[in-house]
Amino acid sequence: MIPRHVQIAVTVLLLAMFGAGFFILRLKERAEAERTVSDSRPLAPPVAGPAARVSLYIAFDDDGVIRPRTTSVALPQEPSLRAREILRALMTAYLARPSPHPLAPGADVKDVYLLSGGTAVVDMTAAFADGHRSGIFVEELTVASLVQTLAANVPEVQRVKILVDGKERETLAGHADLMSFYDVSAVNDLVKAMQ
Amino acid sequence: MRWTKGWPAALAAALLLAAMLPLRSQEERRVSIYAARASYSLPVQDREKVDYVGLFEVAEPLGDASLKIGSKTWRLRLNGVDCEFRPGKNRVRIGRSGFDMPAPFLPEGDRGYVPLQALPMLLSRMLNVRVDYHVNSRRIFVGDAGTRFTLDVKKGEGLVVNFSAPVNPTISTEPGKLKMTFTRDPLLSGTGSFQFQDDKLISSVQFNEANGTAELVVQANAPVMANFAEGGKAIRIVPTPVQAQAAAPPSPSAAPAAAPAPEAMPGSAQPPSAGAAAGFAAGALHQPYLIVVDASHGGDERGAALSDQLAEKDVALAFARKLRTELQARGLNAFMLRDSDATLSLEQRAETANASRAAVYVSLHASNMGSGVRLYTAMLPAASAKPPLFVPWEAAQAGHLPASRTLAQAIALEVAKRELPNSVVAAPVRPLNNVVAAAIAVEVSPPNGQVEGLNSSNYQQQVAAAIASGIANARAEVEAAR
Repeated sequence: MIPRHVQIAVTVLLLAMFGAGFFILRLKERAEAERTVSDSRPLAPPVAGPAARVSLYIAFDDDGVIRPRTTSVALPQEPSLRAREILRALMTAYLARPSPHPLAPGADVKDVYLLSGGTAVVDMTAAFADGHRSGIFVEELTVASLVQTLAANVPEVQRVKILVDGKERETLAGHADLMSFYDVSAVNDLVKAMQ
Repeated sequence: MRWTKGWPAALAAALLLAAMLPLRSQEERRVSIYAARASYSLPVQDREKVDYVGLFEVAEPLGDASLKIGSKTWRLRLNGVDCEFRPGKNRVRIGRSGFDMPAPFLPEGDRGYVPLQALPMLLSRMLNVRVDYHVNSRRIFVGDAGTRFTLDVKKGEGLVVNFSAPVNPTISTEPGKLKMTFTRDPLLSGTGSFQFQDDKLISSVQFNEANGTAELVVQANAPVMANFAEGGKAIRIVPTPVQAQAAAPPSPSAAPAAAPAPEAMPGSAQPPSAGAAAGFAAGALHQPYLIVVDASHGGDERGAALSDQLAEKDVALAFARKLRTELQARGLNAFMLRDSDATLSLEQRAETANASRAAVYVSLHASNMGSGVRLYTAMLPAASAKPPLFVPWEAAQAGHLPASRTLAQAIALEVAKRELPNSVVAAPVRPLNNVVAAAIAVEVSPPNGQVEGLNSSNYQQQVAAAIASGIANARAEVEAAR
């Protein structure tokens, strides 16, 4: 005859075992469900370098304005990498929660190429464009903020071309033109009007 | 012999051309699904000679859908019904039962594909409704979805096609033929061909289904045009007015593409084809002040999702129709680039506007951000004092920017009179850069931050009236700058 207290202990242990198993199964399912569609892993290792003050031109959806903000960013020596890190600082501001101008998860700058003659080519991730909200104004805020931030920190840039995942794209999300080069002086006038 | 020296190159070129031709002519294969909740079209993927379609893309428009991707199973939940797929396996489990698909479930990254042939059974079991599949045309009808039509021939005067529900086909014309293509309308017919041997105008109507679409082809003995009536539940095929054929300057009542129908839905169907644009341009050469109204987006390109139910393309079209009416009420000639759910590229829009020798081009957009009306002109560097002989396509607007800004300011003034928030800024919006006329884009936001307000007839009327008044007021300056 098995003593009563042993029966109770075994029953409790079995229940605890089943409960723990069920809990682990739920945790696994939840982790699988939370797997995001877009790949938001960093594209490149973090850069090392002395911190420098940079000007970011931040778009604010609620007020419909673009305002300058100064921040400190660790910048490498190589000019293209510096430009990329400056734009990444802008992306970080937009991907924060709450965000003044939300962008889709995974929105990032893949590369910046500084060409002779004052031309800069900015290559953005596919998630940046695929998940962008659609509308003239909201797309214009994004593009103007990007171009103005780059031009303010890399003065030799006169015109900017935006690529998405290494390729040309007709529009950002149905409105803002990505086929043309952005003239920095025209964007500068626009940002002044939006401040 | 000189010919023999060049023949290898000629042969290589011919082979290259022959190899390219099938690639160019290969049309994307699509399947259309029609249901009470949504009608939509999806691309068909070929995987080892089996047709596949994206699982979540099929399910999402049909209700509350979620997908959980596990290491061994993919679980789709649609309207509370669970469906379990295993990569590489034919068996699919739906609730407590299941069935075998004709080919295995294929996962590719974050997307899962099911065989097209399994889709009718899958949808029927998941939604618990009858599903009809037109195999050859790849059209799937879920539940009671289906629009039927009747034909009513008015001897020598035309044809009225009556539909059991409102339709929105793309309409194109060519000599002796008018084609209505139904991409999102679940058009059905028990008969393929209708002959009218006694009628002088209409000789036959053919119903065809192919590649996820249905079409009605009207064969006529004279040029015909289509007018929507009864809120889209009827389409009248009537002879094209004689003066329009004779390339006379079009008046609002004579131009086939711009003629307003007297019925509830103002405006007539128009072909989005280049042929239509060319035909219109021929008649528009002498128009002193023609306004081209461009309802942005359309067709597969929905624009912004203003809400779960409201797409930018539909709101833009509604605004465009109101604007045309307001312009015509002020005695101005207006021409809509699209008056149906047609797909037009940005190049086509600019080309048509330029070919029509428009004085004013207005691109209409809608947004759920902010409130009021935002007016945009092209964002281009200032043009040089002496215009060059050849103007780059990307900067064709440069010489017209002053007129565009004048126009935008005149409209802003009218919007302000109606106590609506407004602003005028430059914007990188295509195809403004490519238009050789005073060109603006108008983005209309809700009056009070509530997106439903965009659908309000009163609000649309108010905004359209303001734009039309601005265009009328700026006429002298715009014409002086041409």
